[in-house]
Amino acid sequence: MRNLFRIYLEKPELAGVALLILLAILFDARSGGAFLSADNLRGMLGLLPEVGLVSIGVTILMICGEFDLSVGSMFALTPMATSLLIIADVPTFVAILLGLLIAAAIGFINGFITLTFAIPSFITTLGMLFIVRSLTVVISGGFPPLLPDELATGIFTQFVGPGGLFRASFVWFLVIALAASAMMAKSNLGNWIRATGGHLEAASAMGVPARRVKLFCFILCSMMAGFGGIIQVFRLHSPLPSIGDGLELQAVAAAVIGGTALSGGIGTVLGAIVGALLIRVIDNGLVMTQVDANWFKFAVGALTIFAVVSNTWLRRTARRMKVEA
Amino acid sequence: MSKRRIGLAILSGASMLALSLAPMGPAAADEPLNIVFTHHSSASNPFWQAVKKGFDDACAKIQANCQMIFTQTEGSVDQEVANQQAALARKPDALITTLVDNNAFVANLKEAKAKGVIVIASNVDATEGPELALRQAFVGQNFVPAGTTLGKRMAALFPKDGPIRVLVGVNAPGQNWSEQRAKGIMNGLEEFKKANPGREITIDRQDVSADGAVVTDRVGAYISAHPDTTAYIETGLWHSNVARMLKDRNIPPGKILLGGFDLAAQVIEQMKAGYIQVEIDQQPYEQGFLPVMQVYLEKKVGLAPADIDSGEAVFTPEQADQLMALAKQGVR
Amino acid sequence: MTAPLISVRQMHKWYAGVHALKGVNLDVQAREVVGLVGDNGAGKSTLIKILSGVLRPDKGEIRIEGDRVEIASPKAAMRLGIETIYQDASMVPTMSIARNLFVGREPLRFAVGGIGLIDHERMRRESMKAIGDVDLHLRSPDALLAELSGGQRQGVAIARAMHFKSRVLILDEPTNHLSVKETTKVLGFVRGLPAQGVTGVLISHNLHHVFESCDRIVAMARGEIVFDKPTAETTVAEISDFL
Repeated sequence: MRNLFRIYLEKPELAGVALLILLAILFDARSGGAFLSADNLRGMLGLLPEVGLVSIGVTILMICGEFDLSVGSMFALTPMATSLLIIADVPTFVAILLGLLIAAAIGFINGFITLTFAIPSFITTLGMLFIVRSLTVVISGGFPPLLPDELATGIFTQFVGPGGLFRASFVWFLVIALAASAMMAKSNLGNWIRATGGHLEAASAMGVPARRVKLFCFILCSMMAGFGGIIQVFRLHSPLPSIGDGLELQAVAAAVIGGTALSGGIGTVLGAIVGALLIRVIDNGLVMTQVDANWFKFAVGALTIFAVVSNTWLRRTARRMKVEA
Repeated sequence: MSKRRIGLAILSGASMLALSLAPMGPAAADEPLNIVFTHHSSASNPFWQAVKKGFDDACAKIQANCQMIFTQTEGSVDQEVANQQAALARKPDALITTLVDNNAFVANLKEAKAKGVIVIASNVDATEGPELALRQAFVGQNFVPAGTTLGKRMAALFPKDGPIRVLVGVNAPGQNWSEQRAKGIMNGLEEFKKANPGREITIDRQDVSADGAVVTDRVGAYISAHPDTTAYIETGLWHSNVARMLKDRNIPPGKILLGGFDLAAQVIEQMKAGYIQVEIDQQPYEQGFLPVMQVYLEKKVGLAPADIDSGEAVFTPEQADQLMALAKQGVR
Repeated sequence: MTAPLISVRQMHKWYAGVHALKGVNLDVQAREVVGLVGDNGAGKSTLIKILSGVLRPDKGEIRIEGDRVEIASPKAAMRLGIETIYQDASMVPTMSIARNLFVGREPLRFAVGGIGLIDHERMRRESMKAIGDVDLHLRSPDALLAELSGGQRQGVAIARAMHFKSRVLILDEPTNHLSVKETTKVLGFVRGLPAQGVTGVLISHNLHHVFESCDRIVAMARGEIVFDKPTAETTVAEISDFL
């Protein structure tokens, strides 16, 4: 029992994986096998990279002890900017880079304001949520701009791999997820991020450049959200100013369901992915089993509360158990 | 009008023929049809409850297995795309869907075609592009003519002299249905302008959003800034909220003319109270009912689905009581 | 007579509108253990935070072995060989022992511009050695700090300071949340610092603790040093009178 606790404490995302498997079996049975069919999996795997990237960015920032509620709006602004550049004959690759640069700039502003004026990031990014969404609609001139037909969307939408199950976007997602995971677990920067979120004073006292670490996380979070948006827009071939609406709360829910602590210092990239996948699975599963889709929000909310309660309880219990040689 | 009548006549004749020839209820060897309806609205939009009733009633009549999938966020195209993908993975016989964007649904519609799924557009059609070829028919309102009619009918009620100021409210900038209705309204108002040279006529266009509270705020602010506003015309049904706001401000009904689309119960209520003068209905019940019938006819009798203009029925306050009764049945 | 290891002259610090340090002068000789006592608000913590680089003085100078220095950051203090252990052990409870030991100074296998891959093998090895060196017996350096008792956490903090070969070890109220047994262990350790070539500064409320472990006692009150005598030449009663 003690060892089970230890494992859970170090890898809370495993509980999420267990739930994922359970739900997959349940939904598949109730939908007559359609849930796990190749068609449906292809659909879900097409959507996962977009939401998954946002969740990873938000999770890393939460581990660092801060929040970003503007990710949903970044998800829309970045591809809108990129699209407008493409229509103005800027080469696609350059347009994407410039869009990401804009995302990075806004992430920097989020961090700068939060740290310089010592206000909660919750508030800064809440304000930015509105500002950025408004900017998105303004620069679009009210009408979603028309992307050229020949646009090389294949870099994200092309089907690759066995059985035509995975899109190229999934490969991008995998590579970024692995890089992020390696950074968190294996680099000194990852250690600094954890320390800054876990105990800011201790980290600073030990010489960790906490302010720079936080700025880095803010920028990373914004860029991930922006990239996720670009992938979605390339897939839909339509840069709508309304995409990503409400995404910020889903991303935080995904982070928390995957074991990230709201107080900082605890969480993993795998947890973020598991959380995002769980939410996707529930959304899709409810449609597949023809349950009233209005139960979706109820399910996500209940799962979030349940995940936080059980994670917190288990952590407290584990803390009371002292481990000595 | 006549094209619609002919279309309906053919449809009813064919349905009666098919229903009389085919055995009542599915034969032992027949499987019930699976029909899915996807759209871009959430459950908070009352318009879609009428569509759902038409949809459910039709499905009950042909004993089909039906599912209407709402989105979580009002107006979300990417959620509609995701819902369509999930629906198609269940290999339905038919997909009835709104096409609020000219590009976002192409991939799904291609998949539907490859699987032999019948695709019928309802309520909102694409304006151009590959999606038009990928759906077999459209049942719904033609937005520009409907908007023009609304504009003209409202203009007919304007005071005979003095300056005129009109606010046109666009509920969903960038979405086909809202933009096109607005275009039609502007056309109708432009005709009025041409017919009245020499009068001071101001026509403003604003994004008012598709949320009742936000619409009330924004229009309220406009009216505070311009107390001489003659009329507010919008592309949706949230002018009923504006009516309530006018009442709160003690502005008598008819002082500021209101007009818009769709006949939800709140709208009919305000028509009765005298605040709303003209309403254009697209007959949502038909938009849910007729596509199902078209699917049935294709599957059982081999008839190709045809476009049906579900109307630009104009309603005025005199008909309010009659409409109230129908609204209670959820039919309007 | 050689120059003192640390020499503080005319140090002033104002913060939050309070004159926290008023012209403090202090010498700490190499290989001695100085006990710093005084009530809350006396200025002990402020002085210590300046020496460990967390705060900057408004006026005054610091000399290490006779040379004037500016301690601009915690990293600068650590480079000068000054390690500090704070009340809550300046540890991150959500991280493992090994990660805590090396936070900010992780051994890297490969690095570009200061960012690189942690050499986990080396980190584990050196962690085991570091905690063994201070006589602490823990099963694994991957255990989370939150699983340890207060005393064990202090032990890890001390192990960290010792591992990085500090010249000076400052302990800010290290026994506050410890059991009697753990306190004895920590005090014994402090007493043994000079033998390991380390100079110690111990801050404590508890005069008895200070008497047990320090060579010299310095008392502060209201931002000034009011008492400075070797332990052998004074008594607990005498100091309490001053405070």
